[in-house]
Amino acid sequence: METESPLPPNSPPEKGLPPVVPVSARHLIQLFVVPAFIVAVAVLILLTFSWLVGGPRTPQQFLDSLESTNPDIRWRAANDLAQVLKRDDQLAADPRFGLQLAEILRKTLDECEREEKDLADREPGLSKGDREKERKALKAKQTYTLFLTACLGNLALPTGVPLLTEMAEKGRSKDPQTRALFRRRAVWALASLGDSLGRFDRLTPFRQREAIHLLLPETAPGQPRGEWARLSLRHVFDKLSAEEQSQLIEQLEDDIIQDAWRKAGRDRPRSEPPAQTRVANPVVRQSLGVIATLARCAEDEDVFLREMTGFALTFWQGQAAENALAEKTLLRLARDDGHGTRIEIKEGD
Amino acid sequence: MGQGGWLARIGLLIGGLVAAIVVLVLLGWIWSPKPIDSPADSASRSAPGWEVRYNATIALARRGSENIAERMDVLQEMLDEEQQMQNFRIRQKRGDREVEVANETAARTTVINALKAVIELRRKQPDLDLSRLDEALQKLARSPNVVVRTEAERTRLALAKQPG
Repeated sequence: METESPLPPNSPPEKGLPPVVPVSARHLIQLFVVPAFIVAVAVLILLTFSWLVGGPRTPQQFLDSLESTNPDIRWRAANDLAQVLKRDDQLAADPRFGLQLAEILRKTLDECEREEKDLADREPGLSKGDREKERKALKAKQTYTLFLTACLGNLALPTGVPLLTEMAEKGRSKDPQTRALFRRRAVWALASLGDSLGRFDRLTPFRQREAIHLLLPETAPGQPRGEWARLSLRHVFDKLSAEEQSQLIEQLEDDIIQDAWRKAGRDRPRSEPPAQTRVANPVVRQSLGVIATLARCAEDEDVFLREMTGFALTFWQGQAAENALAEKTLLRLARDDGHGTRIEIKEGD
Repeated sequence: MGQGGWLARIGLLIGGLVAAIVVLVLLGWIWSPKPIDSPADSASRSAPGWEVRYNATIALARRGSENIAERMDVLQEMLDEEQQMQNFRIRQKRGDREVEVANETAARTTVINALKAVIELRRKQPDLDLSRLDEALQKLARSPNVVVRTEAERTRLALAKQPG
């Protein structure tokens, strides 16, 4: 049997094949270093551009932008935040962030109401130019309020429920168009919130506990913010173990008693055992009040508000009595004859 | 050339007048923009308040409410593609006139939302009798729109599954 003899070393390669040479430093630079450099430059350009034109990124940056004195920065931050909250479950479930947002909305609503009243009082004495200027400034603030409302609707905790239900029922404006717009947006935000609350359940148990324990220090009674925190705590209470639940109840009862002594202007006696005075279980499962609010909105003369109320009731479940109310309301709406007024709000209004 | 020439001239004049009238009529017919779609007769649109009824009915279906049985007629109406083409109208400019045409996207979105709500209703209330919707679903399975057809088939399959 013939065998092929191997080629002698250093013999020239067969025809058609390139010569095999060891890798040189130049090759390494061409193949790896140069492309890495090109990619690094491209990424740097993108990051720089994003930094120059991009908006806030961290929660604190958002809050700082929302409190900016520049109205353009404020409403743009609120607009961006409403989109970010839809995607960022962790930020949406951050209780301190949610509480701060609710406080900003409350402050802005109060300012809008006050400035609207002031403008109505001063308007007869203003020149046409000044009147237009002040109306425009007020309109900008009201638009900012609407963006903040949308943000509260995209949270994963019901921190904003008291403000949203108040807006849905009262509108917080004397102008009929503005009141209608505030009410509609509040109902829309309630619909969005009803859908968004399920995101808290999708967080890891670690993140859920983290959120709950961040809520605890915020529950001091006597302030609206404390009440909002308690509401959120009641909503997520079921996520805790039985032991954690009873520890939490004890701690909250203790806080209530401490606050009562403080208001009385006296020091709490050391000898008094904690939670001696029995208070009502502060964390008892309580209704958020959304379905009752929506049931009232369903009786309104504004056809579009009734339309949105029907939509919002898709997303809210409550205790048995509330669910019965929701069904009764929906059955009534399902027989609606279009009565009432249709307030048209155009772009730019 | 006496009388004959005179008659010929009159004949030519009359012929010219007739031709001019015909041309004018033809021009008027060509230039006047025709509506692509005739405006929806107010009688063929759903009764006022349909937007409110639709949202409420979808909500009842998605909640899995047994009370939906009282409002099955609204669900049937929502699954009527032609009815929705009558309900959802937009105005478009054609030449120097505005005409009303069907907003097909909005109409089909309503139909698709109703189909999805029916699936959700079946999931939550497997024993609820939804046979009243069969005819509407069969018609939608023959819709000219592929998305509506697909969703209708999906709904029919979901309803055909035995409960439990």
